[in-house]
Amino acid sequence: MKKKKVDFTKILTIVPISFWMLFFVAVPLLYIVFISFMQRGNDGGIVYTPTISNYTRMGSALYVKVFWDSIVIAFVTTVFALGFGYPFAYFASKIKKFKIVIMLLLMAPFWTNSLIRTYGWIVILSTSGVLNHALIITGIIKEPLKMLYTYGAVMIGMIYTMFPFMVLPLYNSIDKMDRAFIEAAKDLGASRLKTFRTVTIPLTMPGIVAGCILVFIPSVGLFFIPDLMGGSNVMLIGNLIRNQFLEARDWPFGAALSIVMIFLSLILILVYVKIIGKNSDMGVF
Amino acid sequence: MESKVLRRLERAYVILIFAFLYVPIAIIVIYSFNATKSNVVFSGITLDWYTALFNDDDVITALINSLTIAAISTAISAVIGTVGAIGLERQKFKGKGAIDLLIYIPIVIPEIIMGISLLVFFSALQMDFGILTLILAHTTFCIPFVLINVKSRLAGFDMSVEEAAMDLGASKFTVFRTITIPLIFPAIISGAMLAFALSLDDVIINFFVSGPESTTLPIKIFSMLRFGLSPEINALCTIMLLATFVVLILSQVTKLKKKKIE
Amino acid sequence: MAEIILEIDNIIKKFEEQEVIKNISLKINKGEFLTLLGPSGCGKTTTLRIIAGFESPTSGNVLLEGEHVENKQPHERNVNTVFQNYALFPHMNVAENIAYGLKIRRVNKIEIKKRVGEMLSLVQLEGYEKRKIDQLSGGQKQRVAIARALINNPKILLLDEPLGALDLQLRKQMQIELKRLQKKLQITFVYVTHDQEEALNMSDRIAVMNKGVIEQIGSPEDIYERPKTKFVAGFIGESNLIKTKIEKIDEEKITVEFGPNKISVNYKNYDSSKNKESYILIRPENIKYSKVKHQYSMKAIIKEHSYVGSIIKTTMELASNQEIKVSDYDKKKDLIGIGSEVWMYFESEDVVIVEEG
Repeated sequence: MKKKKVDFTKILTIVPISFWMLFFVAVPLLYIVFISFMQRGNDGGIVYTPTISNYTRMGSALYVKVFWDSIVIAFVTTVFALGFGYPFAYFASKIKKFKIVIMLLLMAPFWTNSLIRTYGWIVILSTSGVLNHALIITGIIKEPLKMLYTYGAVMIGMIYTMFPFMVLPLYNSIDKMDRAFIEAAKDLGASRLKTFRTVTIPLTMPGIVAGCILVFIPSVGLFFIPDLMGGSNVMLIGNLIRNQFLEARDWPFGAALSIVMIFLSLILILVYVKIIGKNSDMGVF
Repeated sequence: MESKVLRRLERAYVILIFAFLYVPIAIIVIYSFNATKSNVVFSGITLDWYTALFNDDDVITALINSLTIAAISTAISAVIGTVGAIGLERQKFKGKGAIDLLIYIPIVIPEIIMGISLLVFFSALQMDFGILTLILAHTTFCIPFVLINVKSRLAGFDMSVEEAAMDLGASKFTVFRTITIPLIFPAIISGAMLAFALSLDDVIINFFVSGPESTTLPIKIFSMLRFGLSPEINALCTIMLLATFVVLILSQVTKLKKKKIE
Repeated sequence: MAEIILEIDNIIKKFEEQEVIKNISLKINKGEFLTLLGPSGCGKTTTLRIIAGFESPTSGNVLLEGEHVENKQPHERNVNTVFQNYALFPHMNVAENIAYGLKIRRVNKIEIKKRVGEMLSLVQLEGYEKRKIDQLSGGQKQRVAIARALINNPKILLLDEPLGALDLQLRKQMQIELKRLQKKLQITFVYVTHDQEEALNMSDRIAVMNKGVIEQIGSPEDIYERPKTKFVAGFIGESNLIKTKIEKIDEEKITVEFGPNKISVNYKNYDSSKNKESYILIRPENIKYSKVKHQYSMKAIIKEHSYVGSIIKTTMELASNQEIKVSDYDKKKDLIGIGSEVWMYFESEDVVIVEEG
């Protein structure tokens, strides 16, 4: 009687979500792992003979460079985003007056198309763009600078796009922090720097970790920013993977690249979290 | 306490960063009204580029596609996400931990991985790539946003109102209909709105699971960019920005309203 | 002859491996105000929830007017609950909250409006129909919760510590109102509380619970004047418990040791379980002290006098180092000084023998 009714509700609430997640998330991902060990067919299909050649291919210098470049760029992006973002979040959280407006302004980039935001920078940096125009008019340079299609442009594009993803979690974490802790530390004699290091940072660590992860992971796989702002001069993992799937049609290789990319990202994140865990004085998680 | 100078510097820094964030966007919007094609010299206000957009069949198709996909994906993910949130928050079952984990995967992994995995999967199923595959893909990454939102609302839910309703004669389904849903509704809506905006703005996944006939707006922008800059792109971007901003504000208003009820 | 409306028959309730209710049996009469009284964790709320249908017993039966209901859903029983935190629906106004039960039963709108109006009058909240829940005070929420439950004419009204969140004055006022309401409507009330004064005040009968069992059921007077166990004696009112041994049991009296002496206490057919410790219980208001030795007395040294408004509370210490509490309504009397040696004494008819539960 009672037991039967519970089962019915249970089924209704559990089955749809489980089915969908398993079928559209787990299975496709497992399939990717599977085909990463298969071979490319002549016409772009998949030949089901197992091999590890896809993985061994990545050992060559060319591919190692691509991986390395991607990680470096993702890492630099994260560092810059954190470096500029933390003070920003900290100062912004101090402003009490227009909190709602600030929250909206912080969230808006998160909700808008990152493509559009990238486009804005293309407009600014292109040879006939705003920045060059301003520099020429003021006489600082005579010829327009080639700013697009460089690693620098890609970096700016990445930092700009990922910045909100760092700031929002930081802001939430900092905002939540009870200022009483800072006052207590100061009351006990800690200098501002010491207070910051031993109280503020550990207490906002969840925000820092969240922000770094939210920036680093997408950064590794973002391909349209290097595509648009770096052109063929910049080849990163994202572009490489995309090419395998949409142009070169070497799906098994693309799958293998993806798997390695995920692994690298996960390992780096684990290392990061471990380091933070050890050094955090309070270990507040 | 803190010196005024320091305060001023802090504020200046905040404003500077906000400017950094919004100047590129402002430039796009402003120059969408530029009378000439230049992205530098501003010669006069015109709506020509917007009218050109409305006359561009491709753009209109892409717009309709994007809206349709977003609407349907949001609707489906709202239902599955809400019901799933109730299941995950209140029920115990084998494999619950695994499903809990799976929910986070679409949010945490790079979109490109989701894109290629679905590409490969749909191919293996020999499906045609088009609106359907886009809807399935979008729903997949929208569900977690609704689910997590509703789940966190359920976590703080006072079960005694449900018991009271049962006590007064309501069957389980009636309780769900008259008590549970009305009370979690704001969470469903704000989750759905986020899902809608994300679906509308998605670029990477669209790359992989769309077909030749089923362009979406972000893809259209991307291909227009390939051809070079033009104020039409600015106009298109401005419209998209406006749409997203409206959805964002609506969702925040819902959140604030919800706080009043509690 | 009282009609039995609810029978709880050998209920055991386990949560995972823990026994929250060890074994309870209880018969509740129609129209009575019965209170389940006990400390936190004694199982009283669980018992209430079993009656309401939110929990089902691990074993045992619940019979409502003779019918088995232990496996019925809450909405299938004609029993309503007033929750501890009121559980009013935040998204509905006062009238909608009260009308909920009727709406479910598809009573027509006109009838609903009429009955809601009657209920509001009953709980003295006329005119509050459109008010939002968050605009109400604690006492008002309380009354809406009661109205919402009573409108359905339940066979039994269950109340789970409904007055806990109210301040003292309001609580006392509501106690009177609830009692009045119950008498007027003649509905059976089953009330849960840990406040013994509240229980004594309002109930026709009290079931004192401890660690999953009912230690004693009886009228407030029974419970107070003739507690059966040490727990009940200690939980209700203040008590002095002096360890003793039963020397002799006769038909009409028993003899127990008291210091170097013996006391004879009147008890009809005293039932003593073997191997249970016995205590002499005397309430503080029944103890007197003076410099003069009386029949049943022990030497004590005065430790403290406290003025508590309506009474003087005196604490004294026996030779065995046990503390004795005495309360005296006579505030005008000269108080014997602290540190003085006195004889504390009492009448044998004020003695109750209690056992370890």
